[in-house]
Amino acid sequence: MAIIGNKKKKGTPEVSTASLPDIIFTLLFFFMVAAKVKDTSLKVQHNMPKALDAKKLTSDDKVATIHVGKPTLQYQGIYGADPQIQLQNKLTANPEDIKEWVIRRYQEIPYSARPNFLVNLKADGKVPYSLIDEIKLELRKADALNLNYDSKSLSYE
Amino acid sequence: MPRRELPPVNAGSMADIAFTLLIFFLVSTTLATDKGERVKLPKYDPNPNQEPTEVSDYNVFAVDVLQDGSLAVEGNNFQYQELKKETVKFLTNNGKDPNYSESYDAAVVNIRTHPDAPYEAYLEAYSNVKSAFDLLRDDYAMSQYGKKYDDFTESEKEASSDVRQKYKLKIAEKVMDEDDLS
Repeated sequence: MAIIGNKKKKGTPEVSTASLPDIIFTLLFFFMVAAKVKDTSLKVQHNMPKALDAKKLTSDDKVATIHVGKPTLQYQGIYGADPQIQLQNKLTANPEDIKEWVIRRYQEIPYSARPNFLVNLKADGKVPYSLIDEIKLELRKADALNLNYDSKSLSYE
Repeated sequence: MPRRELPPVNAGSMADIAFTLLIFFLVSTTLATDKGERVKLPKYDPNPNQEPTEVSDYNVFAVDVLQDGSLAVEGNNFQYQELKKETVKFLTNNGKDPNYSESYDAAVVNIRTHPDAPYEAYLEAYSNVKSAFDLLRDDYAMSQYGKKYDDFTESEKEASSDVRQKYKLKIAEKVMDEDDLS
């Protein structure tokens, strides 16, 4: 095959950048789909305690998280500086609210996943133990017996 | 100097650069995963009518978490670092030392926490005691099945009820009441 009128062009031809927006959009969609939307904002401060042999939660766990700690500065005006319990977006000082809330969380998940229901207790290390004990009692009343004390790893070396 | 037209910069490799960065971040990013100490709470009993079980004093390992967050074992001040070792010693005594348990089956660890003690102190004490139980269970699992209990698959856990039966977790917990505080 002869190419007629072959003018020899000098240099390399320009690479088309027209597909770059497509690539960016693909990435954007990927992150949009993969990202988990945060439905709660943290209203309490907590610094996790340390535990020996802290284990990671698995993806099978159906987790309901309870935050416990001093309210952040923004909320101290309303709630004071005493430790509060955060259930989703609600702050309460009364552990008795937990029972109803946990039962509702439990009923939201499908039957097949219910044995994997787990309450993750994210409590500040400085909270008095009596409050933690009251929370545990409420969880037992709600029959939510799988509990995780959220903590950092501890090592003595 | 004569003005010469500059050749256009080739932007085709920008995509490669962007991809390299993207892949780097994808690989190096770890999602924040929650870690912690898992516990199984006992079932709630609205009217506990059972008589408290009497356990001989030497079969009870009394771990007290005090108001300031310090630790006392059998009434003496104690270091958290030593707690795991001491618990193992207590559980595996088998009657050798009269101050420790007569057998694993008879032994109970009793953790009493002051109501005002910080939660982190309680958790440190609990995780040390739990870790001692895990150590014994894993040693047994290792000798019988050649791997740690945590590495068992679900079906292996089903099949190896002896590990669970032999090394039950025996921790009693309570918040100190007036009797304990006085």
